Amino acid sequence: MKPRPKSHVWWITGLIALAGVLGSASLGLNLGTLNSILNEGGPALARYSQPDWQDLPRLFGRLGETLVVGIWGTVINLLLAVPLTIFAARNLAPNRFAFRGSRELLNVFRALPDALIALLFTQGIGLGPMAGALAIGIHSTGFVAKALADAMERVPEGTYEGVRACGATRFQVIRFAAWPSIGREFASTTLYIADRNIRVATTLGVVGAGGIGVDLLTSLRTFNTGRAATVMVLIVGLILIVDVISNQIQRRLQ
Amino acid sequence: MQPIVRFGNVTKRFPNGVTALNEVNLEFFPGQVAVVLGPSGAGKSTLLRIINGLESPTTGTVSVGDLAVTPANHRAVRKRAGMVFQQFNLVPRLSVMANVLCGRLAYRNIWTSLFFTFPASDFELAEKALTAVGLADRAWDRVDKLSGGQQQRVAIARTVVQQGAVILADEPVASLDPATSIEIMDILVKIAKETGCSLILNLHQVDLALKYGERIIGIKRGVVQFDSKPSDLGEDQIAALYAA
Amino acid sequence: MRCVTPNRAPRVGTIAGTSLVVVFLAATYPLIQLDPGRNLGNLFSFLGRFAVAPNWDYAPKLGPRLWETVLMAFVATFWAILISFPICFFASQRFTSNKILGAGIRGIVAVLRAFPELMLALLLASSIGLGPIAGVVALFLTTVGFLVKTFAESLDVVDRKPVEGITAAGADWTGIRTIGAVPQALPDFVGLSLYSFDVNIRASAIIGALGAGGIGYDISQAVKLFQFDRLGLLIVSIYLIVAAIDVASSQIRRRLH
Repeated sequence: MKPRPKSHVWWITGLIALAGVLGSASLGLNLGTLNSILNEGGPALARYSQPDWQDLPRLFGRLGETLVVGIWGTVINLLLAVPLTIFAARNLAPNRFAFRGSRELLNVFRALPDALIALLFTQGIGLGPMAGALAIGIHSTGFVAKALADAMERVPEGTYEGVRACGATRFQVIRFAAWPSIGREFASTTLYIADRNIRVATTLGVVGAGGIGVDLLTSLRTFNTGRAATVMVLIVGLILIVDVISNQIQRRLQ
Repeated sequence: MQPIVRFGNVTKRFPNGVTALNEVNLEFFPGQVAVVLGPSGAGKSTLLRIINGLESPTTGTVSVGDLAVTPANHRAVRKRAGMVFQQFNLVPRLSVMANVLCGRLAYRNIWTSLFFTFPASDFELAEKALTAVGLADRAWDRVDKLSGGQQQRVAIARTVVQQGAVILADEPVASLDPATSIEIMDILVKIAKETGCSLILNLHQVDLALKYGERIIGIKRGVVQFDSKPSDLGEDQIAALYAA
Repeated sequence: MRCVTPNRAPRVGTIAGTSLVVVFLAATYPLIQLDPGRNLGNLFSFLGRFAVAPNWDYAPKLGPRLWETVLMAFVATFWAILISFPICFFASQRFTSNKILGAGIRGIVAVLRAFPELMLALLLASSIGLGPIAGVVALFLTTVGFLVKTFAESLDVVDRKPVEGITAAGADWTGIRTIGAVPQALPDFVGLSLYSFDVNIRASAIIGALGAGGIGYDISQAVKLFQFDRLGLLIVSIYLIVAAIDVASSQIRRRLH
């Protein structure tokens, strides 16, 4: 029998473990800090156990604004993603240059966190929901256009050839071959990203880009624990409700 | 002679209402090659899976040696009764050697389960078993890179290192071509004879059953139809077994 | 001429859903203050201000800042994987030791996932002070919520046959899971862990912007102080680090297949 080949698994695992432990230590995370988090965390969180419902109508308005940011963000995202998808799909792009360029653009969109884009936009176009919606739209386009382009690349070439053989134009190929083939992926990706965008929108207000996030920041910073608790209940509630709805629709789609 | 596997009035009814076994009484003896024949859905698979504890009888008792097959005894029973499956049931992505060593899990404690380390003696057993099935040179290859026949040989080696008293083979050649089927049957019977194990096989090929079986049991709709030596078996009995 | 569409009539749900969205968009149009002319004008004049020579003196400081951001993400992901791995077996529908326990764990992590990491970071900051530790703990908690759910789901879809083979060989409760199921789910586990790391790097940059340190803090300062000569460098460096990790993780995933 041949000798056992050398396995790298153990030393790679060991290396990652070592990095994890050393990294934690260098951030000041050790048993002492863990202990103090566990000891002080409870009482600290207990201060938020009494929500103060006085401001509720106004906070509901802000929650609505969050929903506006999330949904407008998704609409902007789709408006950007659909044309980009066609350039980013290898088999539909007009040329290699357009393909590589749009893929790279999507990578940039994906790399920049939405809250940082929002931060830039609050300076560029002013505070408010528009900055948030635009930031979300741009960042999530990186995901959506990539997912849809990948789906279009997976469509068998024969599907396109069949439509092309009937003398279809490029637009007709996209409309009658590519689009119907990825309809299901489009629906489930849109749903997923809408869910994700609303979740992100809940905290975008922290950088001044609209929604309830700004109340979260101010009430926590001013130690207004009652109001902070209310805000957090509303945020978590909204996210849970959106999650349930999108799961329901997702199940119907399948 | 003491039976190694004993079925006492075993009935198995599935939740969907199908009765797979109906009042089955059977005894299997050490060193014997017994073949179970029957149409699909006759209860052959259930018969074997009950011995290993993969299914539990609805009523009746099964014992392997002096051990009753009960949930508390499952690991002890499985140590004695290794199983070979139609689809090999090996763990993909693991090496051939790792899959064979899995046959030693019945002897090992939680540390082996967590860190997948076996004593050197287990490696020696596995190497011997792999040599016996002719796969020693493939020991460190990924098992899912092997052909179907080779994978079944790995599965046989896995039951060999269990050092049990019974090998249960559930349609071991149903997924293989005819030439490979003969190869695998030869290896199975050879290994059963060498180790003194009792071999209980489910087959759907009558010719293979008559060639290798020392005892043929016919099952239909969960009831034993006949139980005899191949030489005593009439063609009409076999025809009746498969008739609708 | 009568026009006929070959498509089947759209379903009621689709129509209702679409019209709901359209009504929502129309009703909230004033709120969003969409004014393409003005917005785009502002945006382009803003982007124009990036056209300044980068402040190369600042460049050497980028390294340590990026390192801090990546380290926060790495440490949080590391501990989250370590904790999620043992828990996912109990959260799995197929492999849990107790159905009620499994449903309980899935419920807890579902609630955990509903806490945005930014909210957790701010909440922790109010009790232990906003620093890398609050950031790491916030990222850790959301990542545990994500990984326990997705790890358990990939365990739920492993092939039944190898698990049965290991069971029949007499493995104990643990062995059936670690040896029968885990090797099959391993590519998923690694992929999900890498994805978490990728997400956490971006999240760590955002939390940093609120004061936990790292590259995010410098970005928020540069934005507030209109230091466009730094901002360009900062954005490019974030892009490069995310792209590098993207390439590395797709390499690892390919190797694992």
